[in-house]
Amino acid sequence: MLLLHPGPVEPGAYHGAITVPEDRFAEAKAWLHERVPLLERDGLDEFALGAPWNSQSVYFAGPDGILLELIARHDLAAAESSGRFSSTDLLRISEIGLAVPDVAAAVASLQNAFRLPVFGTAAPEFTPLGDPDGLLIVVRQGRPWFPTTTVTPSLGPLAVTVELPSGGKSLTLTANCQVKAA
Amino acid sequence: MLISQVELPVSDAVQAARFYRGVLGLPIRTGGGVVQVEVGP
Repeated sequence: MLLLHPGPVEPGAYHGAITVPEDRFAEAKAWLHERVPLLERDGLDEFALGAPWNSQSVYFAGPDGILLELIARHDLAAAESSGRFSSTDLLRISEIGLAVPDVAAAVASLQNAFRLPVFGTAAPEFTPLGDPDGLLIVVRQGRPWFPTTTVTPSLGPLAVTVELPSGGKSLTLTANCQVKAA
Repeated sequence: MLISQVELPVSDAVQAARFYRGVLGLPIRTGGGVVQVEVGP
């Protein structure tokens, strides 16, 4: 669930991704392209990543410039649905970006609180935590969101709730960012 | 790991609701100025 409340919006952009069925990426892209402009980089409007991501993505802008993504993760199960692609094929929140001043410190705090695994490689500017079902994308403040070269992360308030066996914990990651495990 | 909820501010809740419901076709609920967007079956 995405919970939106009226309030001051800080400069920059939030980032979120939504999972689509791994075998319906082309349909998802066509469906989305009928509705919004797709963001491009170097003349491309879709982006594939190898292991461990094993995914295809398209990006678009939402309200207040939120940088949204539809992502097909090929390590997840194929579609249970058939027929024309629709909003019911937007399966779940796949990623949410967390902008922090010190990625390594934030990752250590998140791992200490929730025992989240690094997904792929930990880097000083970008470290994903979680698994293909859901990822916290921990990025350095000021690092532009892909595929843009200029849109930097919002430092505005953000609260994320994840489902983990070690539920009931809460971590204040920055003054404006809280992560809870339910 | 499932991400069950993401809470963030928007400058215009009506416009945001119009986008998530009208453009992406996602179910929404509104109340008290808050927009709740359901992602997923």
